[in-house]
Amino acid sequence: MSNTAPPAAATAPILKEDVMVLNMGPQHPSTHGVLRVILKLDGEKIVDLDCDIGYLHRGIEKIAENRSYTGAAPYMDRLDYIAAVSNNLAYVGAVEKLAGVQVPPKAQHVRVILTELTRIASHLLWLGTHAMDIGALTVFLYCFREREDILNILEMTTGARLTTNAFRVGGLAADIPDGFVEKTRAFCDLIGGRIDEYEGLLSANRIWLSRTRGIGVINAGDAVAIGLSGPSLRGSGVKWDLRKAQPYEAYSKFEFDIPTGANGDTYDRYLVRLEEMRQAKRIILQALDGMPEGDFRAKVPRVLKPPAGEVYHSIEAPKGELGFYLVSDGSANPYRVRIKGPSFFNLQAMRRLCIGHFVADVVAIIGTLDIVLGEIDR
Amino acid sequence: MTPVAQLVKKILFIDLFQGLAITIREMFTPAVTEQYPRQRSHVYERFRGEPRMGVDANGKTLCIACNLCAQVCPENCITVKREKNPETKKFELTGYVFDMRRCMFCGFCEEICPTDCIQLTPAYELARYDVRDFVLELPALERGMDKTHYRK
Repeated sequence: MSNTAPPAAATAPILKEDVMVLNMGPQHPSTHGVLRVILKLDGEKIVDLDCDIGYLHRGIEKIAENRSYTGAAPYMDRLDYIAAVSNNLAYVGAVEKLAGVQVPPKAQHVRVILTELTRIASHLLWLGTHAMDIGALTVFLYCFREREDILNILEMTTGARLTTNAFRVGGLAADIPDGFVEKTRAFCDLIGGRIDEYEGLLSANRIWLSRTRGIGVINAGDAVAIGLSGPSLRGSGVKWDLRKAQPYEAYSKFEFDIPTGANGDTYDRYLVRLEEMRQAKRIILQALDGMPEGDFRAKVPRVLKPPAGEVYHSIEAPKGELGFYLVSDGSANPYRVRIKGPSFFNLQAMRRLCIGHFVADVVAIIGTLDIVLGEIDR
Repeated sequence: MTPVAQLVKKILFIDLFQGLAITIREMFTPAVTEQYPRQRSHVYERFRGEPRMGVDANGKTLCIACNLCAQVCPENCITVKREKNPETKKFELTGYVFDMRRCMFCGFCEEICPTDCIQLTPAYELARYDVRDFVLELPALERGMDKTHYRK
């Protein structure tokens, strides 16, 4: 008996087997929606992680198949509800590409202004909630104050604060209202100083630095392989922005820089987003200066029947590449609408970013990826 | 920056006081919050809220029963009841139902209306105690929804 090996269970390290499974969400305040993260923990350290999505599924792709091309547009507000205007732009742009509609230059400029305002609004909400998750509550209140100004401009122009339904196939829903240019300029004058203020609160703060530096590091190669896009990709140093790479609307007319990070950690992604807000302001001012006269909407038949075919149109939404793949069979309803949302792809990086970090860092990493569950679950 | 200067900065909490200075400065700026029930927020003209139907100077409806709003509505929440007048060969409105339970305030109906009859007005206080109050018939659409009175 003495020379037979003991059973495997007796030799295995006892402590290592004791992996605790912890459910974070779906009702956790820092998951920004209804995301369930299943954490496997060794003490406080994350050994493995799995994301459970689908709690907010409404079947928008299927709904769109049963609506006309124009009638499906308001549903796209409900994807990334923080940047509804960007969703409108991507969907409407895809339909225009399919139907071969030319958009008047004035409409293009207003579209750029509204989308860039939304980019600032989205980044402000991200910064506020991200900072609040990490423990800086003050920034949250300041960010929401500035976001309110943008929502007012959107309400004045489109008629709604969140579900804007801003654009129509061929242009805008209505011409810009009186006072739009002045209000937007006043906001642009204000926001530059405000961004400096957020930077003053956070960038040098030792708590902020120790919570974000070296947390959730991903190198450029891995980021591209996973399919990250938007600021999450640029934080790793990849200079890829669809506004420059495949210019749409009037973006080729404007001058702006693409900010990139060096280390690919949470702090770099924070700096990239702050700089993006400044660049968005630059674009808005250029678009306001060069605003052409003319129509705001091209002539489009009331019942739109694009020729049979397929098209893919993508834009640089605040969170990354947002694309619409439309298939037309020549009827008034789309045959297939496929949405390529940035948040869904950015969420794939969660596992790689989190392993080895602590539970408290998961909160920071969810924040830094800037996900919106409305768009992931659709 | 030399390591010594960095250390001094760290010991004296310079970074934290920088942030604190901004917070203190903000304390002297006016408050931006609205005290809602007492203070009403400013709503812009284009805001899409409570649906209303217009009448002309004699109190007659502007609706010509063209059915365009019902066709364009993505949620199918509008029903236009109409009958063809055999003499004039034109449609006449016999009833109009707006089901606000399904409405998502996209504004397509007011955009397509040829007579500017149906409009989404800036009235935004739409909470009701009874779900049946959200199915609006023609008189309610012309008069406006009954306002909810809250007991003290």
